[in-house]
Amino acid sequence: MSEREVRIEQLIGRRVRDADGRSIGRVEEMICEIELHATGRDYVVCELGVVSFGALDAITANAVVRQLIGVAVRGASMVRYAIPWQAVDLSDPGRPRLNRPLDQRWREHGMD
Amino acid sequence: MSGLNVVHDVLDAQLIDRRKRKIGRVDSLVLTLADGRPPRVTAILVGGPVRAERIGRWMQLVARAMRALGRVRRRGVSVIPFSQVRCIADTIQVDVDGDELEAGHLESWLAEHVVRHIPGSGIDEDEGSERK
Repeated sequence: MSEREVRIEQLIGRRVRDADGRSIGRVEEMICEIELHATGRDYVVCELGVVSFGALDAITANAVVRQLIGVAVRGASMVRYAIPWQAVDLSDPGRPRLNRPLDQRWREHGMD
Repeated sequence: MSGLNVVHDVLDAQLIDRRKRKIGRVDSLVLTLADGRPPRVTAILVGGPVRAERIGRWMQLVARAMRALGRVRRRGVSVIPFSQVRCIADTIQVDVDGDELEAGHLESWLAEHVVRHIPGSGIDEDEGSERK
């Protein structure tokens, strides 16, 4: 099993595409769970928080811009997904990609 | 979302060492990726160069120039294994000694060469020790 290390900023803000190459948003958050084992515990990423600003997505690579737009267009065109790690291909961390169709059940509601 | 939100709860959070001293902030995190396994958060990175990388290329150049001017040879980046994390709340408590971290050397250098000369800094001019 090959292991490699990446810095979190290499993933945060990256555009996530579906299997057909369509953009579904940018990585904004990583949700971890604690996995206990005999020698200690691991913090494993169970979901990726992906946010789409629709037409404004092209200019939201920067974290500050994302936050500003998030405040300005709160709830208007922002869509947030919690995508399980199994559904994301991170073999190229700079180009995360879904390995299955986007499931609308991943869409989060009541984010305000 | 349930669970720990790494960007919101951990990135940029204040770090506290085993002696309850502030030792900087979480400037970056290292994720370990393995085929067929979920990504794991394995280390915390602390230090000016890491923060400069996050800000952008121009900040990296500024940081490099400052290091050259100050003749700082150390890289100034500390790697704290995530297994050393004891508590994640408003601050993050880690089971390390802040004095042993490389990122702390810049603060020590600044305290010794700059801050101690500022009246009211709380650092004794003659002895270099911090007044309690």
